[in-house]
This record gives sequence, structure tokens and C-alpha cells, in this order.
Amino acid sequence: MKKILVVDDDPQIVDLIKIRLGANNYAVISSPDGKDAILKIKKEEPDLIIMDIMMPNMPGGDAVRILMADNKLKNIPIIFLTALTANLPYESDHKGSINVDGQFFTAIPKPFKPERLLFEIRKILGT
Amino acid sequence: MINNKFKILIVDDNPVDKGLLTQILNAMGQDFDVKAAGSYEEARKYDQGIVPNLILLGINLPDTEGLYFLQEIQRKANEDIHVILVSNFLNRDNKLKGFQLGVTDFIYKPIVAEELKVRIAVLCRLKKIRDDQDWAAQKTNEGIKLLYKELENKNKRLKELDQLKDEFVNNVSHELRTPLTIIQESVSIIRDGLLGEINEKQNKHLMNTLENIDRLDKIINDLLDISTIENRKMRLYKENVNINDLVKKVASDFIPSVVAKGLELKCVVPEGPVDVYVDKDKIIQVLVNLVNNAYKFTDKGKIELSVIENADQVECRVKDTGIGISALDAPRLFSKFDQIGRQSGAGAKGTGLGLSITKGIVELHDGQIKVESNPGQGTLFTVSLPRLPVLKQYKNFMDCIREVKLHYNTYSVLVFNIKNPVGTNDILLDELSALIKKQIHRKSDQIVRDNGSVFVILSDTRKEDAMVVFNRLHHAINETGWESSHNGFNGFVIKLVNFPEDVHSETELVNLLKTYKGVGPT
Repeated sequence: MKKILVVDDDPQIVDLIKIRLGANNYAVISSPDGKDAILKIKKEEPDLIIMDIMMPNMPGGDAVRILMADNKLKNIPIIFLTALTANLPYESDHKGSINVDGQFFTAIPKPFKPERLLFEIRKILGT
Repeated sequence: MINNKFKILIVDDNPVDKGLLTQILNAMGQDFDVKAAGSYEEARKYDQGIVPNLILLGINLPDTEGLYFLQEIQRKANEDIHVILVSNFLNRDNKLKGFQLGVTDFIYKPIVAEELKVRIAVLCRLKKIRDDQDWAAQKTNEGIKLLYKELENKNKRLKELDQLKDEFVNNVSHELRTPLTIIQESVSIIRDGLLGEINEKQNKHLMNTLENIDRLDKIINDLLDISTIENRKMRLYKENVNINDLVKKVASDFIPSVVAKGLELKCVVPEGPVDVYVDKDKIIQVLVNLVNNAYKFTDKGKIELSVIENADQVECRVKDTGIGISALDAPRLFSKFDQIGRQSGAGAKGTGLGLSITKGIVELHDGQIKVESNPGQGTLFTVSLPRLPVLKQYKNFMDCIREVKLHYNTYSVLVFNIKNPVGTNDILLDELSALIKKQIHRKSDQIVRDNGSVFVILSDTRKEDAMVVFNRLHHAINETGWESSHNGFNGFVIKLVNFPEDVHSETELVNLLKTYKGVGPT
């Protein structure tokens, strides 16, 4: 069973994604912010990270930068799931992805369609 | 009003006159500040405190010490000090001398009270006028400074407010989206039966809920769009696109729903590509808005999308056979939150922002949008976008450039134009092309003839390296002796352009080409 880490400061959103992904046979763990996420990722080595952007302690983009700089972690795929669309601290292009220091990540805007989330996850994990 | 007493200093070594002058002044009953000195020495002491407005100088001319005192006063007087000489000996000469030394007036001794009073009254009046002017000037000055300060503050405040508004819109949309996400996913999870089976009726209501969540989401997006358009912060990612492709894509996306409504959808575009330099996604948004609008307000007949090429513009038209808009409503059509001809039914629900966003996007592209309509007969929206005429003219060349750009990050172009075009242009350009061909050895370099120019495209070549080729070709041309074999030929204008050093886009490149064409008479 593939393991997915959901990083979001809103526990209700985390709960909902857990139900949705659980029903689709994914194991889901969660973190309330970027800082905690880094620790969890090192410990749990998830197959995929679903990352919010606006979070206390450490915003999602900064956490992604740390992951990108870490040779052991930089290959874990990341999907941004964010309510932010304008004034992003990271350049967001018009094709629905977010550019962090030259690397593009899939970005799904909130509110999201479950079909879209599952589609993007399956595209990456192939299951 | 400035509380400024009229200050008078009496200087007279004759105690009787000094006393008399003091007495007369005091008797005038005005609020004078009178000081009396019996000697210049004493006068200087008074003088150090406050500069008097008037000095009554009792003097027995010729009096060198007195004249010296006068000069002293004039030297240090940085504001007007009036001096009235009170003298028992005044003729034209020493009066003149007095005037030259800055004396204001003269009074004869023996002193006549009335005369003194009149003179002083005049000076008082003068002083009052002057004080008033000073006061007014000072107040005006202060006023201007205050106004300026106020303007500055207001400006600063406006900027802050503007920023706050932006932040507010962003924050609000973020704050709205988070609860909306929770609502949407909660409802979706129930609808999808993840928390237990639901019946048909429940499903219907949940679907309605989801549909309206979508609508709310669209309103939030539209509000954000309008906000970014209004403060001109909408970013455009422009590129050269064939507008026909966009129109065809939008048409095909709409076909299922249009057909389902029993309507016909036609799409008429020119055969060849119609290049425009636009943000593809934003123009698709414009077309989708217009077709969606047509779809909403058309119940029978057809929707027709077309592209028409004009000399300097490309027109995209969306025409329907729907309910139309009355001339009265047309001006309000593009204003925010105005929904005209609104019908009941889920399909017709909009945000009232679609057309103002559409207009905003078109205008950001330096284009125009207009509407023609007859109630009951349908509506025609026309979006005009500026086209790049030269892109078309230099089509062969631009096609090569695009190909090069796909593979290399840099390229240089040598542009050859005939200086004074003569009858044998084509032959000349043929010979030139043949000559260049002999000089160019790399396979990836290309020679293109287009629109009366010859281009040498040097792929993956920096400007300094291209310069070497430039010099070589220049030298080779000079050795041909074409000047004598072609009557009237006066050489080539050769230009070197590098991407990205000189130009950053295809548009910049063709605009530059246009200016090269203008060299020399045509």
C-alpha cells in the first residue's frame, strides 16, 4: 500500500483527504506544517507528499526547498494543494503548476475535485 | 493679526525737543512703543534690543556723527527702518543728501505737533499694510505647506489602501476557499457513498449543493480576476499562436452541450494560420465566456464562431440567434454585476462578472470588444486583436526562426537589404544568396530569401562570433564588383541581430526588421 503524507494546517481538510484516499487504498499520514512535515518525511519516507502552501511555522514552498536540497528526499514526488492563486511567493504558471526555484510541481487549487486529486496521484504513483 | 507695536526711537540731544517729541507721540493715543535717547550712544543701546520701525533723528546738520549714525542704521537694517530727520536747518542739498542716506522724511524745528502726527500716521498706515501682506504671505505659505503635506499623506494612505485592497481580496478569497474546500469535499464524500449508501433524493440534493459550490468558487475566481485586471496586475504570458486553433478548440469543447440543447455550432476560420501574439489561456477564457454567453441566451438556431483577418487586426466573432440585447441595455453590458436578460434556470446563472473580465482581458491585449444586437434576433460579439503584419510578411523567415528556437538558446541573424533598390533586385539577391552559400559552411546555418531581404540565420551563435561571419561576408561582397555590373547598385545595408542580446522575442525581431527596411529610398 502506497503511503501519502498530507501536509495541511486544517485538521478538517486532513480528515477529508484521509477518508478519500483511504477509500482508494492509500495509507495516509499527516503533518500540520512544513517543519513537522520534514521530520515525518525523514522518519516515514512516504511515496508522495500533498502539500498546502499557507501554513504556520513553515510554509509549504519553504519545506519543498528543504526537500529539494536533500539528496535523500528530493525524489519524493510532491503535489501542491492550495487555496492560493495570486501573489504566490513562488511563481505559478498558467498551466496549473508551481515553479519552485526552476522545478515545476503539479498544483491543484482548492476547492478541489476529488477526481482531479486522484487523477494526479495515480499519474504519479501509477496505481 | 500680528501683534506688532509700532516702535519709535527718538534720538535728540536737545532735552526739550526730545521731551516734546515724546509728549506728542504719547498724546496721539496710539499704542506706540516709544523710546527716547539723548545721544547716539544711548540710541545704540536701545537699538540692540529691538529694531525700531521709525527713528526720529534730531540732528543739526551738518553733523558728521549724525550722518555716520544714519549709515550705521542703514547697514544693519535688514527690514525697513524709517528715519525722519528732525532738523532746524534743511535746504535742498542736505535734504538730497539725507534721501541718499535712506531718510524717509523731514520735519522742521521748531516742531509742529500736527505735522509730526500726519507723517507718523502715514508711516503707521504703511506699516499696517506691510504687516497685513506679510501675514497673508506667511499664511499662504503655511497653507501651501499644509496642503502639500496633506496631499502627501493622502497619497500615501491611498497607496496603502490600494495594497490593503489587494491583500484583502487575496486573503478573503483564500479564507473563502478553505471552508468551501471542506464543504465541497464533505458533500462529495457523502455523495460518493464513502460514508454509507445514499438514496436518489439525497443524491439529487447533494448534486445541487456541489453545483452551487462550483458557482461560489467561480465567483471567487471572477472577483480575483476583476481585481487583478482593475489594478493591471494580471500577468500575460504572451506567445505567437494561431488564433484559429484556439477558436476551434473552444468550439469543439462546447459541441456536446450545444448539441444537447438542440443548437447548431458552426466554426468558420481562414484556411491558413492567423498569427496573433497573445496569452493563449486568457484568450481562450475570453472565447469561452463569449460562447458560454451565447449558449445561455440562445434556445433555438445556432452559434457561429468565426475568425476574420483584416489589414491590421484579427477579428474573432461569436454570433448567436438568441434573445438578443436591447440597445438600452448594451452600454451596461460590460459593467460589473449587471446581468442583462437574466433568465431563470440553472444554466443561465452567472456571476455578472464574465463580460467585464472578458473586456478587461481584451483590453490588456490592446484589443477591443464590441457588441451588436437586436432583441429577439440574436447577438454578435466581435473581439478585435492587433495582429503583427510583418510576421506574415516574413513568414518563411519566421518559420525558420521558430525552428531554430526550438533547438537553440541563442542565434544571430545577418540581414541584407539593397541600399537603393534597382530594377535588377531579384538577380542581385540571387547572386548574393549564391555568394553567401559559398561562404557559409555549417549545416545548421540557413539562408532565407523573404520579402526583398536575404537573411542568414546562424544557429547557436553569439554576437561576437557572428561578427566574424559578418566581416567575412562584407569583405566577399566588396570584392564582387557588383557596383559596376549592376547599374545603380549602391551596396547592401547589412545588419546583425542577436537573440537574446538584441531582441527578446519574435515580435521585437520583426519590429526591428521593419526599421531596416526603411533604410534608403524604396
